[in-house]
Amino acid sequence: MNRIKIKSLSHTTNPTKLKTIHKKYFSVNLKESVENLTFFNIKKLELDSLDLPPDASVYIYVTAGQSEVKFALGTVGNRADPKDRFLDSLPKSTIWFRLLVVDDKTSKILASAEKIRPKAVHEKGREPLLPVYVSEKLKNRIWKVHLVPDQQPILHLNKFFPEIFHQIQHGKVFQALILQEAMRISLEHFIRSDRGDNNPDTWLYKWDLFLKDLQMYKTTPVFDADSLIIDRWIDRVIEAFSKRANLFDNAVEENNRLYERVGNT
Amino acid sequence: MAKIRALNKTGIKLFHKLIDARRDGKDFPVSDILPHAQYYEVTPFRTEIDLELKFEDRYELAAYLAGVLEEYDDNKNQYGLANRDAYGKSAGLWSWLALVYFNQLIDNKPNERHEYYVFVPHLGLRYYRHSVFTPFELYKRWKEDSRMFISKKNHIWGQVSESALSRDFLMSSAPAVRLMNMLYSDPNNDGAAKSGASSKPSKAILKSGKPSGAGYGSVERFAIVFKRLRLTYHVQSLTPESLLELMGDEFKKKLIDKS
Repeated sequence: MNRIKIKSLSHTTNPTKLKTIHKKYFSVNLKESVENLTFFNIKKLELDSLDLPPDASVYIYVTAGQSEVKFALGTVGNRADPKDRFLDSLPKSTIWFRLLVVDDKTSKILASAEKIRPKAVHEKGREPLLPVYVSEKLKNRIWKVHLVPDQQPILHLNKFFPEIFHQIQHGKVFQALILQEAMRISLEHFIRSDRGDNNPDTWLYKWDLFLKDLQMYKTTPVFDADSLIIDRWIDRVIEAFSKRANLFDNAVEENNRLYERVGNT
Repeated sequence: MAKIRALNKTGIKLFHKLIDARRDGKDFPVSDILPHAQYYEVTPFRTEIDLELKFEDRYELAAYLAGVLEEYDDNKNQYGLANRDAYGKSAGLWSWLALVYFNQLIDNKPNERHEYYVFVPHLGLRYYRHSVFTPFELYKRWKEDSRMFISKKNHIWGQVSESALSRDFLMSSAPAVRLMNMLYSDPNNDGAAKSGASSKPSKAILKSGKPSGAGYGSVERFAIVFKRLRLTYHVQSLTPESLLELMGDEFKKKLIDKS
């Protein structure tokens, strides 16, 4: 039998040659000055392993809502952290960092770290699916999910609720009451968000993995699906997650223990 | 002329009732709320406001308020978006201003979405639909370049506003805003957005077998293409002209059509 020779097709997986600066090589945190002005510190910035031209410029862009501030950090070969790192010109909303290494002659980005969120004190290394922010501004609400289009949802907790951070980490009833509905809001946002380039560094990718783990990924509705279909799918995800995390049983157990203790006193 | 006020919690709740009543065709004049001291709080704004002024459109209203609210920048934390309280000073101020010019901001009936009139900074993304706050913020930041993003009709929010303002990555970029002005503003209509500027791209196939070109080069497509481009180019350093060069022929064609 004669084999038919098919001309092979080749394609480049990264035609732009743009290098990703992994989060382990770039991290920032936020601090407050004595005048209560927010500024950032660069905790880590390592570019050596990326083989970038020494004359390429390094910039940090900080965005909050529809405002953006640029910080120039010199060049790859001669980097200098900016002295003025105050972010007081930005509106008080979730802050995101973007690190760019740029060829200024062509304006092409040679390497980038996208959508970097400054770490809060309680986050030690791991990347949470739903980051937690303890807020002073929730007034009479105990929690809310803070949403910005296409960006990672963040669970805001009211700072003035007693032991709120301990409660969300260890309180089983507290977790069951908050996490299921926080997940509903986050999943709605996830479905409506722009998929972009499916970069594994994005928050959407983390949610993809979470859904795969729950065996719900393949049934994810499209962004413009009927709201009833989306609601039903979210119900199934919440049920699968709650079952996996034993949310209900743990909450019942904690509740019973609490009542036994109250009964004994 | 009157002092600038901010609705208090009772005033905001009553404004919601006014909107509902007007939607039901009932008579509920703004004068049932505005002059009554139990519904408002004083503000630090010193310049008085002309309650009877008629505006051609929201752009004119925004430009007027930008001149009047002189102390805004000094009080932005309380009266701007940073104050996310449902009944706080920002919710009160912007709702009061919408109430003052309410009859100009509606056609026959108000829209069913109360956030067009009552400022809702606590409801996440819905705040940007406010008929007074958003045009004001746009004008403050972009001056004449904001014209294109603000509806030419007082009572209409407009698809261009919806398409552009809901995307922070677009509105935080000066080259993108300037290029959108170059492409979509209509010099024969005071710089307002051209009709069809915000058409959604069509996936339809024509009888001839060719794909429909409807919606190509629109603001919706601009957002998609720009978002991709900003991942590979340092767009902040580009001029609108060099950005257009990278955006592709569908947008260059818009400029040719315009000229």
